[in-house]
Amino acid sequence: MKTIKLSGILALFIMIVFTQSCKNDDDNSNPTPTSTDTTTAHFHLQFNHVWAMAESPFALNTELIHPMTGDTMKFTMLRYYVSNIQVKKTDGTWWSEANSYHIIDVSDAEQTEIEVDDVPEGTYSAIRFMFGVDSAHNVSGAQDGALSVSEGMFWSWNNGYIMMKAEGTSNQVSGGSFSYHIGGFSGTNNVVTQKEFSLESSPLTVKENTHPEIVVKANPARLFHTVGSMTSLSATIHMPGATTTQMGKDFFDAAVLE
Amino acid sequence: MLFFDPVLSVDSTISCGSCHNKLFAYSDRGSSLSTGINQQIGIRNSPPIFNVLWNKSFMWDGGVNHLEFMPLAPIENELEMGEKIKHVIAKLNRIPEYRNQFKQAYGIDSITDKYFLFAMAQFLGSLISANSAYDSVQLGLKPFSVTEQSGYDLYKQKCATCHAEPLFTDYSFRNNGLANTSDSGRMRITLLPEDRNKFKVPSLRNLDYSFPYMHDGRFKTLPEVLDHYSENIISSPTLDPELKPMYFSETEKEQLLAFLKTLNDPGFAGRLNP
Ligand code: HEC
Ligand code: HEC
Repeated sequence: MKTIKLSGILALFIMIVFTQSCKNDDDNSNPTPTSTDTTTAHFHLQFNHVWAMAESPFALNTELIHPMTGDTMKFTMLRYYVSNIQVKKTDGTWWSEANSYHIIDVSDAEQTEIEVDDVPEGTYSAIRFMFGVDSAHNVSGAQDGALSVSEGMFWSWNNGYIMMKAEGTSNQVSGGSFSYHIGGFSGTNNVVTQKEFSLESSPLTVKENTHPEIVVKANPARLFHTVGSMTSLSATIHMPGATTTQMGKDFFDAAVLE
Repeated sequence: MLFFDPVLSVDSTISCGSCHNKLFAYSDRGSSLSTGINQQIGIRNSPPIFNVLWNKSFMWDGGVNHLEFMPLAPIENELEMGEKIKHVIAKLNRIPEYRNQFKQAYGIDSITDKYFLFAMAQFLGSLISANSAYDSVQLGLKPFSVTEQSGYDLYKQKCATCHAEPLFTDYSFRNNGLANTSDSGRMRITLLPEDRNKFKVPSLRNLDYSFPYMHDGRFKTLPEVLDHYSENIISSPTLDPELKPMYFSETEKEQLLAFLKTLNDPGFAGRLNP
């Protein structure tokens, strides 16, 4: 009897796996239900990068000094995920962006700004989003868009998205270059950080032919806020762990509205 | 067929099939550690591939959490295929047959990593082994021999807690008391000290084809495996609490070996004469 049962279960399983594979697409393209006659428009979510307390301009391939540790460094890459963008309507409910996964890439000015489309016209009093990729999407198999594995932001041997990559050069590290890949979506090494900002003082008004902008200020110097000088870190960290979790949290937590 | 096509490796020398050969139940042809590009030796034994739709995780340490993600690990491993998925997709898009096949299967004009991973997962999922003598016995088509039956009874007492029927694994991570294991196993993924030297319990189906055994292929034969469980279980802080040396008699070993043979599926491994 067992074998018959076995193949029965197998057949069922194949169906489930394959229908789920197909369902992935729907999940991704299924916007929050909005009634069809609402007019929609867009807003921009811009990420600006500044350096340290002085908030001097941050740029790649530019020598920076960390005021707390004294380390000098040049970043060659700063990329991270922003996901699950939502804005709060006047009735207190939240509108959610469909398939809301984005990579912020400092090397490309266009990729520091997210255009959030299909937003119902209206006034919004708060915004929330996540730094990183929610845990569910770390375990749901192949996806596309910003979650495509071709983005190079996925660990193949220890599955999960690389929530943030910070790479560069520094005389403070042996070998002269550093590469911190920050990630982890569960347990003690969970770096995914939910942010919520009130917009009460200057509400977001979404309206056709306007380009309202919300600007978030992020400070890469915060990466070293708790862990301290690079001299005491491995130059290359390519897996989840206490050090990179701290670095990621310090960076994500410190992001504020401009 | 993508699985057997070396185009997936950086220098077009290694395919998935190089390390996962049908005649060996999709394991490596008898080597302890498998050989990737440039004759490089990997760190673990290449396991057989079958019934993977049931796996809760993949790899000896469970580092891969979804069948669709499975092909990435060997493709991007520098010791195995040394490629980058983005480049693999670009190469596949230059091969008209593959473009046609993907168009027929998924209605897409150019191949993307997502559909490549879907296609690989479909193939891996289709590798099903459920046609062993054991399965015939369970179906009531034939009985076990007396020796096999005694082996089955012993298996149920001594092995079934971990190698649970009908897939002959419960997919948990355990330390079965191997000596000198430098590989930290599950701890490599979870970083938890209590997971040191724990490995995913492998299935006992098709053992005759998937030799050698254990994560590092340290045992060449099944009698060596039984000697391990009989006398050589090494105590350590993470040793499975249920596991103690089993002190099998020679007769019991023969009975167990006879039972384990009933789990071979020669049709699956392409070993039936046509
Ligand atoms: C160089 C040899 C090599 C190549 C090439 C290779 N593999 Fe593997 N495969 C291995 C080894 C070794 C493991 C076990 C790795 C580990 O646990 O760390 C493995 C594990 C697996 C598993 C996990 C089985 C389980 O039950 O957990 C699957 C599935 C798999 N490989 C599929 C593939 C696919 C698909 C390809 C081609 C894209 C491929 N392999 C290419 C050696 C190889
Ligand atoms: C406490 C759990 C547990 C029990 C009980 C147990 N095993 Fe295992 N077995 C494992 C684990 C874990 C591995 C993988 C260990 C590794 O590779 O480091 C394994 C590996 C094996 C392998 C190697 C398979 C392969 O593909 O490499 C064989 C064969 C095997 N066991 C047979 C048996 C037999 C026969 C019994 C009963 C006499 C038994 N086991 C009892 C946990 C167990």
